[in-house]
Amino acid sequence: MNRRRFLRAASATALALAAAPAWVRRAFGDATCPPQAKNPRALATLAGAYRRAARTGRALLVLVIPEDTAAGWDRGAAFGELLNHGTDEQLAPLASVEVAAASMRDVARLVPGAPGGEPLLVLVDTRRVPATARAVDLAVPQYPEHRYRQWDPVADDAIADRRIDALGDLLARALPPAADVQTAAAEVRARVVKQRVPGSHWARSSGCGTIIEGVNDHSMFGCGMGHVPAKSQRFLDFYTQEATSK
Amino acid sequence: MRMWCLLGLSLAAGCTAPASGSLGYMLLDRDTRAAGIEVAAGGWQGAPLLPLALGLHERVELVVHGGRVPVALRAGELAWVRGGAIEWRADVDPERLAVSGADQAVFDLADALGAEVAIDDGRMVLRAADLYHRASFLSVPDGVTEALPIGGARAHAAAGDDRAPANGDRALATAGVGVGDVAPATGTPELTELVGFYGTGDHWLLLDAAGGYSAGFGCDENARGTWRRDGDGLELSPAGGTPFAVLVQGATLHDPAGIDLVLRGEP
Repeated sequence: MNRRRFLRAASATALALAAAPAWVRRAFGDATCPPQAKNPRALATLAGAYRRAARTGRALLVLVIPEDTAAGWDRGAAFGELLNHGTDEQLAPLASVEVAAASMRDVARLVPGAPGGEPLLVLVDTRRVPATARAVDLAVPQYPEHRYRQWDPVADDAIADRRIDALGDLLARALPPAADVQTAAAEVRARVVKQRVPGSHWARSSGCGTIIEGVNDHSMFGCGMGHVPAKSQRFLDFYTQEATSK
Repeated sequence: MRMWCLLGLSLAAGCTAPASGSLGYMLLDRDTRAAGIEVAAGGWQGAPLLPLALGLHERVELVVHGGRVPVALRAGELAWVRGGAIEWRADVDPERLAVSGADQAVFDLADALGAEVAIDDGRMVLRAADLYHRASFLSVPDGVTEALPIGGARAHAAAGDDRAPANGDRALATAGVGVGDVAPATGTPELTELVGFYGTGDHWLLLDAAGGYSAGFGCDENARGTWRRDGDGLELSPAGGTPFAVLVQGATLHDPAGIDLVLRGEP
């Protein structure tokens, strides 16, 4: 039997392991797995970001996806506000890092020395093994609880600007300054604003459903009574599965 | 029974000093302790002023504001954490220690350790058999301010030595509110290129950024162990198992039977 073909085709884990060469069996152990298991893509994505960071001599900045999805939506909105509406000065420090989004569960698996809890950001030094990491945290200013029912663009913008400034200040403290601010900001926008932040999708919503960029760009939605503050309308979605994207 | 014996039971396996070949040593300097860096081993955690003698099988970590950096101690060598960076010292004399502080405090410490006190080049030097072992986990009298190792050259920095520390990285930093201190940079640059997520079919292998690996099938993790570079390849050591070698060819882990685990997660 062709072992390679067998490994690809086998759905019974025990049989697959039995067919694998010795080192695979020894590395993977003999325990069996559920047959319908899916690949841990998020961990692979984070590891890929780590490697890109290491290869380019950058640190890895992880936007932490909290277990609580409500908190996750707020973080995604806050990062979206900064990345889409931040000034050159506020974005430029990101030129020194590779950016990815991940849960702390995956961060800790890749970087066992990572801090505990769910800080807003984790900064990983990728220059050597064992890698070191530190928390970069902030209590992001919040919108009023019923913002979706209130139409007050001026107040919305004021809060969004406070959130952007807070995140910008945090990055300025945590990351080295850019030598050429305009060039650095342009590079950041090209890398993480026009393209996806690995581990997330860019999404848009003005209160009428949500467009996940690259997933359902042409969907049409009926509108309700809600609204989304203007600077929050393009945000990072942490919860659309990789498998459903194009 | 001495306090050090009681406190050290879980780590040093009793009051009889183990053979020095089965021990590694760790010492934190004043800057490191002041920065809040602590040692965690065998369920104990603290920032001792005196050296620790720890079994090589113990999981030893430096704890930095919640982050943990594993440290693989080396037989008979001292991991001297200075300013947050590890400086390895081979051939350090584990029976002597230079101690500074108030005279009476140093004498009290010597009594607690059953050590002789000598003046050597203006320094107060404690001497006793298995001194590092005796000193492990001992509370020091008020007035003792620092302990320094005696003897020992800075250990290896040979190219290609996977264990060689990165020198010159004094990474303790103070930063603004909300930004945690930088953890000590003590690792090996050459290993970063191997860190990654590899797979074939539903099999996967994660080489983590601390020298550990986990492996699984689909969503389940089946095995853990450690990895290290072995020449042009990789040595995997399953927990409780026998180490074995894997070839590394570019972004692929390869075994002679033709099964490849290919790097994933990068476009």
